[in-house]
Amino acid sequence: MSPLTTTSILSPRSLRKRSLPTLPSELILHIFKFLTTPHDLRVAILVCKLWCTCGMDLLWSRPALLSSSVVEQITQTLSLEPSEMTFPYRDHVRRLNFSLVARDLVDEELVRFACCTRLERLILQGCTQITPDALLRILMAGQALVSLDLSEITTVGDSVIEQVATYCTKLHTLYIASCNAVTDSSISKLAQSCPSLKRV
Amino acid sequence: MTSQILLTSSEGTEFLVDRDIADKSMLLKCMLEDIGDIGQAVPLPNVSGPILTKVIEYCAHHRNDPNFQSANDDASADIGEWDLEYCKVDQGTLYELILAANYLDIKPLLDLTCKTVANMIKAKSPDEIRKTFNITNDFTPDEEDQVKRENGKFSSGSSLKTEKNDSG
Repeated sequence: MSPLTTTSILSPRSLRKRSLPTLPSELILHIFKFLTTPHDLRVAILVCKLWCTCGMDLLWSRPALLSSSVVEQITQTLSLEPSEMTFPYRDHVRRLNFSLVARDLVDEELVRFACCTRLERLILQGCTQITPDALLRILMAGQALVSLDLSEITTVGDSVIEQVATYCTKLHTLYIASCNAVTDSSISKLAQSCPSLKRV
Repeated sequence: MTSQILLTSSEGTEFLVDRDIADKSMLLKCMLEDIGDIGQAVPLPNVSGPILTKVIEYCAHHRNDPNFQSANDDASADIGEWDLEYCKVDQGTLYELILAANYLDIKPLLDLTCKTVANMIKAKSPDEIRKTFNITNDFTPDEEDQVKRENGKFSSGSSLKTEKNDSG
């Protein structure tokens, strides 16, 4: 028993000529999600302006911070004047995970990411060279932060947590393992300021 | 007796389809759940006859797959043999299939066809990609250089599995 009956005659000429550039942007973006190597995405954005716009968010929303030289290159691009930039790269950045460069990351490098005001998730686990001053600069730009990992940064104390409470009111997850200088008083201030807080 | 529904393509061709095959399309499934069995044909003005035939072929082949909905989620997984053969069509047909799968909300078919196109992009230079897909380069040389400089050698972190907070 066949599942269908049809009275049409299959003819290639009955197909409209459809080409890749005429697909809507969201479908081009969906195709890009299947580009599994980073290299392929970087090549795809050079094909034409439409592909560049589609690929840009994928490329910059979660940049892989694999080494100090990569971090340097990214900060160079982020530090461009808006009028010099091809795209508003800083607005695409939503997740930053510094754990692979943790031991080497210093304040001067970290603060150059303070322009990423749409940052939602920040992982600074093990970044032991970072001082509270640099953290403050990042936190002041962190209105959109929902998840923050400050584990193993032993210089983090109550003053940092209070700054988190002041600036990051959308926070729902905070990791502070091994931050032994933090006391209950700043945590309770945090709980009061951040209504979405689910996990500390 | 299996329930069947009648679909009409953009040219007005009618297709009689078993209900469980039609249900692979979330659009049709929800429509039929809301309206119930209807005597009239469901018009699909965005899908031509030949493409609808191909779509039905895909859904019929996979009608008994238990993991159908998440079938082609994994970007790094290989495409199965039948699916590979199924996608050996000219580019125009492939893009029409992408559009139809999107319109009819058949995620595994959308993922399969998009993955197929992505595989055609992989390991090529921008020029080779342009030739494959007949795309005009609308960058000036200066613009192209600037994009290259600004985006350099770094990569997207979506392939990293070390992140703790990995929910969407």
